[in-house]
Amino acid sequence: MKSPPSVQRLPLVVRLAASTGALFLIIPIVGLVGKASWSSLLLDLKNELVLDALKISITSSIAAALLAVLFGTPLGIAMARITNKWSVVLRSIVLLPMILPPVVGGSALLFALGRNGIFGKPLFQTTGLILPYSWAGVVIANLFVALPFVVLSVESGHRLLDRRYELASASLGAGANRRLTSITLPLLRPSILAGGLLAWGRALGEFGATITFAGNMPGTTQTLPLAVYGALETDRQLALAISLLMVSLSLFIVITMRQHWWSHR
Amino acid sequence: MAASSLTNVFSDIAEMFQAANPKADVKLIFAGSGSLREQVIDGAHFDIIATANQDVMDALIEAAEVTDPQVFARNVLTLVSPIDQQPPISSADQLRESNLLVGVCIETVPCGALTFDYLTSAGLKPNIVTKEQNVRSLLTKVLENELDAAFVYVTDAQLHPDKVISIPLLPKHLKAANYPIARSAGSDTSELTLKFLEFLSTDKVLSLLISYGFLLP
Repeated sequence: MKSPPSVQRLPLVVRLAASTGALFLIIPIVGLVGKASWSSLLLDLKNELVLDALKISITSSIAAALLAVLFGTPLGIAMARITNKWSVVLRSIVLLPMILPPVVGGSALLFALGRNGIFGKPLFQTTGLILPYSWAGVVIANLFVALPFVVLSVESGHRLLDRRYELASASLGAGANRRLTSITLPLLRPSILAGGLLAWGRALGEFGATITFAGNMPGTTQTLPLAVYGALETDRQLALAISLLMVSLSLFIVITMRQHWWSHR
Repeated sequence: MAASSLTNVFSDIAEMFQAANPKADVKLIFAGSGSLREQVIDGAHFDIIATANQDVMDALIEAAEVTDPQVFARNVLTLVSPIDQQPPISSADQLRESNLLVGVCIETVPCGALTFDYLTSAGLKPNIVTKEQNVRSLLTKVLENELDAAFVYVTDAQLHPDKVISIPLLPKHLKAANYPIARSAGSDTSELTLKFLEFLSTDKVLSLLISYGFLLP
């Protein structure tokens, strides 16, 4: 096996720029870790507000990631196969939530699905269901920002697939369903998992769309990022403690993702 | 720097001040009072700061960040409801009905602290569905008809007479919010800073404050 080229052989200017880039990302985390009071950390995290927010964050982000996989995978496969002129339009719309400021996404959700929204009003009038201010509302806000990650990952994974497997199985008489379940989906597994993990991470960190659409109610819709925002104005140590908790959760997702990628490449 | 509930009136005051002093260039920063305090303690540059409660100002005095505080206005809470609310809400007592969606500011910001004071004093336990971080985001949810009622300042309610109705609260349970203003203790006080503070007690500004629904100290 050929060993990878060593870092020392890179031009100095590249190494300097690379170090600056890395430092830029590391410095804020150092600030967070350095300012925390470690002795009271566990005590800070043990309060009811944090535990409630942790529970809501974990459950809503996992629910959103699962829904993102459930709907994002078919959408990603479909988008990889659509070749007409509408594919550009569809792709732009699907990727929009990745770039849109989340608070704009939250307002859009409110105008569409709020109690007085275009779709939310008939929903409320017929079923009495109100999506904002509920756990379901948090999941919807999370899903809106997280779904594109699965779509993008599955679509690009699908483009790299070796289509010969599908053609071969078709020539052996496998129907469309059989080809999907025994060839396409297993081959796409790494892309689906990577997309799902990214979606989970994005949902876990969601702030703007959640506070705009689902509101901020401790015990019902207040997630960890919302709790950090509230604590910043009142109790800095608590805000630091919750931030460190979020850093650990995000690190866990990143490490899981890396391991996953390494095992497949 | 000024509390978010001062957004409209301070924008007007700044404009009037600039018209009277063409050399002045007033830059305004609005945020919740707690957020303002944290920004100042973290070293944000400012000449003058106005907060929506005394506690925040006291903390800044203690931290030796500000000097010479004075209460220049007061504000009280009211209950607002969308104008086409059916059936209409005519008294805060109706909040006892648990099916009404009620929004408040969170306890840790001035309007929230005043709201929970009122609720405790009046013995009300409404169906609170969201605790917003500032009064403006709370009002937006009423304007969008996503809440049946919310506790906001009289001055906020007055900004949208065509969209919300204001239901007065019982004065005996109601405390007023004081708005203190002070100048930075750090940098040298400029002549314009002192001029601006003096400008606040001119008749023009006082009548503007009243027209926005503020009470005078």
